Amino acid sequence: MRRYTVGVPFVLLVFLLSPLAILAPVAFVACMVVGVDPIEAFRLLWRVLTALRGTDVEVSKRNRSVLVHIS
Amino acid sequence: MNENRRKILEMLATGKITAEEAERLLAAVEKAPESSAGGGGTGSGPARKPQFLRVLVEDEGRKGPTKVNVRVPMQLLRAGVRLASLIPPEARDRVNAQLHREGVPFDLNQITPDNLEELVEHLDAFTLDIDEHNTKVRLFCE
Repeated sequence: MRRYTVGVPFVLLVFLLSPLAILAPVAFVACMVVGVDPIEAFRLLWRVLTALRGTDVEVSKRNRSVLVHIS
Repeated sequence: MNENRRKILEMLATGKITAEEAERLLAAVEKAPESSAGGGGTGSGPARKPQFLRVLVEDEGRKGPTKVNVRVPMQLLRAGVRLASLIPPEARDRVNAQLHREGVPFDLNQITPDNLEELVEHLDAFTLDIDEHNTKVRLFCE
């Protein structure tokens, strides 16, 4: 079986998601409207993002296997 | 492990167990570290906390079998559940009402950091197997 491993560094993941920072003012206003502390929301979302470290997703089909690992 | 030995000896001293029972328990306690060391495990405590949630999916499709193997850190599960604290109270009440209507007696307000830890600790014995037609799904903690 041919196996491919793709290691995604956490820094790269943050870099790829960084364009979403453009939506930060909109998210801030939305948090204020629904009565959620925007700083707490950001803190929890950052925690979710950092918790992605160590995640493995492996898909195998026929003689090929791809493993994506977030490190 | 010393604490376990002490507890056994205390039980023997107070007469809760007989000398034979104490001997058997001590033997079991002495065996436990050997087996954990032999397995190459890093956990030195009596019960190792689950570190990952594994989802295995096997599908025998027409174009050949497909396997998906996902390993998610428990930390992500914890962080995800903590996000529930962001749900506004009125929305949480609506979710709870809907869950009750669907026959799920679950209250989102009961999720606190304390009982979340308790929940995650008890997940080590959790296994879910779904076997349907050509698809198998297995969910467990390791």
